Amino acid sequence: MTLLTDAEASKYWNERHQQETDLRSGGDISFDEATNYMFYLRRLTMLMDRVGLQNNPVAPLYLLDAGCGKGYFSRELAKFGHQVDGIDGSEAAIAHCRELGGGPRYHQTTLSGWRTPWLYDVVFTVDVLFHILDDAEWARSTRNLASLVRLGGKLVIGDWGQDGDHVYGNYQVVRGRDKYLPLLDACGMRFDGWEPYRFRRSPIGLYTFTRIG
Amino acid sequence: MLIHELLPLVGDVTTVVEVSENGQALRELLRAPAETYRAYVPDGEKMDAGTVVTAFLGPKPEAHVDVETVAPALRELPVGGRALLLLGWPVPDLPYHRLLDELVAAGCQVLQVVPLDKVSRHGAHCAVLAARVDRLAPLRTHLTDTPVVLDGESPDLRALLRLTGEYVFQDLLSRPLRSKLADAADRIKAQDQRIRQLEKEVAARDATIAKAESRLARARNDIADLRASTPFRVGTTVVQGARRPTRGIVSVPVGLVRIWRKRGVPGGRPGPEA
Repeated sequence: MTLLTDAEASKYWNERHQQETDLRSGGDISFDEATNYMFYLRRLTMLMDRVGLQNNPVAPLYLLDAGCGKGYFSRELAKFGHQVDGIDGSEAAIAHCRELGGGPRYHQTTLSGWRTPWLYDVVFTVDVLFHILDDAEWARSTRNLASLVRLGGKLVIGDWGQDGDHVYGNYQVVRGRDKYLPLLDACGMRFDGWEPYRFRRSPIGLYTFTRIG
Repeated sequence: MLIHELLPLVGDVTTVVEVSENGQALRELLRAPAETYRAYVPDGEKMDAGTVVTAFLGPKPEAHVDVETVAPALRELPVGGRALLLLGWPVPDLPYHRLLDELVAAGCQVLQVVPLDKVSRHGAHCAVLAARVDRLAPLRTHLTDTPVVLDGESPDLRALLRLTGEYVFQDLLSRPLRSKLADAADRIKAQDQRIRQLEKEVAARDATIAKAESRLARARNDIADLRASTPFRVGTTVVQGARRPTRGIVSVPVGLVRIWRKRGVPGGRPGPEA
């Protein structure tokens, strides 16, 4: 099957965010809205484990939700007192996020194109990188996200945990640990582990890396 | 972080030594066991690696100790000994320079500065967690809540390069922010002064208006009295009669009779219809 081009993928996601319900649009489209709600909660609790269970309004944690879609994780983590930036390439998704508000600041940009003078305590990208179909753009995006993590900070990536790549349909390419580990090791990130979602039969899980250099 | 979460954060503790007047001011707040808690006595019982020096530093002499009082205790800490110092200054205005001087002079590494919750209950805005070291201890991150481990791997060259690089860039970026903050503070001060000036002007205008209203009320009373007076009413009746002589033949005598009948009636001012 031929994969979508960048322009086609961008169009696909913008339309999907316009047409689908809140959680299905950025979640798993094979599940209904209620199941997606469970799926989002499951991943949110996994993110909480990685971000930590402390907050402080005077000196908050700074988080980047890379590929925030309609902003579920951004809004929920902002409710915990963290300062969250949400970025996404879809104009429709960002417009939806801004309309809902809730604390995070949203920016329309690609993952490889986000520039800021501030580093983050945690950068997370949940089930987004496998939607970047071009390998070079995937590598640029992953490197850029890693560069935004401060010393001691974490990079959390949703993708599958085995070696090798695998293509699902015409708009998903999952990359394995044989891709992530060497690339991020070169960026000064320590691999802390990969934990599967254990949700229905999802093959995906969260990689966690810590910046050590 | 809650204040009673601090002591577990310090790691393995055998003794807590408090620097204060009575040596017991913080025990309940920290929820420290009484049997491991004692007051600091200069050059007293020797501290070991399980010792934590604690104190409450801040701007109020009646509630806080100063950094010079804590410094001797810090210098007595052996390698591995730790310090848990509560600070009574708000985080955005934290004057940390003197404390940092003493910590560095005592060979202590600042491991973490923890902002605290429920400041109104105890007055401590944050806590400094430091340890006496002979090599760099593992780095900790903001809001980490796992207990301190000092014997882990020291940061390697790459980590130190990253650390110094982040410091240099953050130092650069903080300068324009500090400048903007100072400008904003100046603007707020100027705006506050302008607001106070405007408030004074408004008060002065209010006083002027009150005086004018009072004069106006007096003038209205005078006019009402004038209109109610017999000469005014006689004059009005005569003038109306002169304007319309045909009607005046009747209206002037009738009007004058009415005025004569109402003579001496108190409050003989014309009614609202007048």
